[in-house]
Amino acid sequence: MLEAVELTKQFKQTKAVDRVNLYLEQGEIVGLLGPNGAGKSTTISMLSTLIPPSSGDVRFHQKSTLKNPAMLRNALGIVPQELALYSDLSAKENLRFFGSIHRLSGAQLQKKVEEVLALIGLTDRQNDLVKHFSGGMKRRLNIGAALLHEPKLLIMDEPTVGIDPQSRNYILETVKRLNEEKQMTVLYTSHYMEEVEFLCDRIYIMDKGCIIASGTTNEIKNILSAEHTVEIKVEKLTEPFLHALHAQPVIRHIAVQDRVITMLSPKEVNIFRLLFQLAEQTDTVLMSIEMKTPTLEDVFLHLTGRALRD
Amino acid sequence: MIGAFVKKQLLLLVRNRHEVLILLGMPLVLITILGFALGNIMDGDHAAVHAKVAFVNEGNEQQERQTFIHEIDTMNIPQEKKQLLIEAAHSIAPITVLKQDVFGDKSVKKYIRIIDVPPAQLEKVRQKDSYAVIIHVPDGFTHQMLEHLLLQKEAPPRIIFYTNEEKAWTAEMVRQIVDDFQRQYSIATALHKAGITHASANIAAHVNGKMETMTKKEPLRAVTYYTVGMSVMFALYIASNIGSYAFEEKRSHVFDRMLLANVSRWAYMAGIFLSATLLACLQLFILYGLTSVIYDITWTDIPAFFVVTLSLSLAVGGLAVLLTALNFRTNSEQASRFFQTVLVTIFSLVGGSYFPAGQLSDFISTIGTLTPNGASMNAYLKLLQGYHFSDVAHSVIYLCLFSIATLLLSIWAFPKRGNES
Ligand SMILES: Nc1ncnc2c1ncn2[C@@H]1O[C@H](COP(=O)(O)OP(=O)(O)O)[C@@H](O)[C@H]1O
Ligand SMILES: [Mg+2]
Repeated sequence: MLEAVELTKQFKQTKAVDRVNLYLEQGEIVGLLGPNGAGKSTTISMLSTLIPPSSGDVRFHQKSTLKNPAMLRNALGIVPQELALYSDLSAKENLRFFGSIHRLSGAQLQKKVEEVLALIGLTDRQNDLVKHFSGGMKRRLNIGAALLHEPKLLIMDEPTVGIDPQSRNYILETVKRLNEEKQMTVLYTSHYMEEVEFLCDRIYIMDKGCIIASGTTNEIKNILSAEHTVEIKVEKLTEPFLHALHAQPVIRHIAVQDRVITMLSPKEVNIFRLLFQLAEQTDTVLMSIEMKTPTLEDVFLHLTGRALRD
Repeated sequence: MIGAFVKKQLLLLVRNRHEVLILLGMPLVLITILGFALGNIMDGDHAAVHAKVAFVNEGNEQQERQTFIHEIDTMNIPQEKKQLLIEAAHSIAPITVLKQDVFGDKSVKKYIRIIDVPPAQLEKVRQKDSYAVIIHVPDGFTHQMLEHLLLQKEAPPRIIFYTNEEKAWTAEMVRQIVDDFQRQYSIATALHKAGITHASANIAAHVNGKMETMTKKEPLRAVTYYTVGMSVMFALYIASNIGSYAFEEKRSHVFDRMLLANVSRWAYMAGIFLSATLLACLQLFILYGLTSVIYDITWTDIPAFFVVTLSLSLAVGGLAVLLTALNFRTNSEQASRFFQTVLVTIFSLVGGSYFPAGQLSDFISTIGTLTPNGASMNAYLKLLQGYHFSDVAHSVIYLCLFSIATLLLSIWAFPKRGNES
């Protein structure tokens, strides 16, 4: 349905997006995952024809959209990372305006606005000014404004940034519903692993402008199948113990938080025995050892050596 | 869809109390302060109309009269009649009466300034448009007048007028004065011949009386002057405001939503233009409406008032689109800011919003009328003085052209995709 081919964007100094290839099939929810500054928003701006790529192409139903963006635009609903709303208008006035620019009017506009208000759960607050809304309500309206013209393809850029867990769950459920009930195709951008894991059929992981991994959620997790994620808790964190961990070639990606140490190790190594030995040698008391099933977070750690949120 | 743009803009402005206060409250306060604290600087002897009239005299009154007397002398008529005619001829001096008694009268001088121009310069003066009217007295005028009045010969001689279309109403007024003078002069001479009254004094009195009723120009009150000055100045702020709102739409990515909805930049610009024009109209109507109630500033020629207001609003609309285009182009609010802080101040100064700056020099006066506020201020003040619409038509045309020019510039300046960075 939508395809990016060797998509590249060079800003003056930075290469924000570097030869990105990705595709979306009808009815899928695809995740685009990456830390801040990875180039997700820039990719989305190019996909949605808002900025021209430095090189590469965006194709919609096999046709390039660079010269002729109208068809893609008509099928597209964009939820921008920023709150693209009028804060001095009410929720309803905002939706009515965004409906009008999509050439809706009269009873049709009225009906659509009511439908969207119900979908995003703002029917009760429709006459309140947006500037008096909570962060979560603004985010929901930001999504609603993209749905008025019944897009076939919804592109969401970090739609849950900085909101309460309740609103976040509401949004995630809404996206799932849109996909299931209206067969809407969704590209969902986030730097929250658990959201992408919950929603997406397939995932692209992006870092420093490049796609560094892609596949179904399971395929991506299988990248880690050869390794364990081990989490240990110590009574008191000591330098010698940490030093000893680092000195072990089989232990990788050591991350410390308070008295909790996370690391990766190959499955064939008996990590328990090794850890006990090291603890004994350095007079460290181990409180607990846990083997964890890998998360996307771990995958990212594995791929880049950095945590997603830092 | 453009209706939705306008409605949205109206709602946004109305919700912003701070801005409404600046656009409506500030001018009212300033009108009151300037209008009353500064007193009646516009009042008193200050002429309301200052029509410049060129007077080109090709004839020579004295010489022509001598010729006429000489002709009578050689005529074959009774000596007694000759004596009577010669005596009468001595008291007839139409040009002197016109210049000294009619145009020289104090009440007329208030409105009209006569400037003598040598006949050789007639063509040159006709090229200039600083004169409301040129009065051309042809060679032999006095001689013909004497023949007409005393010998009942031919038709009366005619004074030639060249009128300036821009100042049509003033010119018409002068022409009527002179026409009236000629008619009265004939009657008075006839009466004088019959020994009833002394001619010239009466004519002047009559013509001047007529002049008063025709000009009816009230000297402007200061509060009237500042009502116009402040209203046209604050109308300009609509343009920068709308420009800033538009940039905010770009900054907050609302404009992206419009691009994605395939809203063309033409539709977007049309929305800006209509919103700003409508808001300027509303603002001006409210300000003039309130001042007409509070300060008793009445508009007698309502249709002309509407036309001037609309043309100023169109100019403001054009400016709003231009500022929007420049804001988008520079991807900043600079254009709006610069206009709001620097240009409006300069425009208001030379346009005469603070004091009649045009009186300082012809140069400032010309520059002033090139600003939209200056042009409209001229027009409004003239209407308030009782001028006719034809006397302000050139300002209206200028404002419409100004609007078109700014729109063309905007089309050139507006970024093609609206979104390059
Ligand atoms: N308009 C721009 N001009 C210059 N650099 C930009 C611009 N937009 C984004 N960038 C840079 O491109 C990189 C990717 O940004 P972005 O696409 O916003 O990342 P993400 O959405 O993944 O956080 C960043 O380093 C950012 O600073
Ligand atoms: Mg982003």
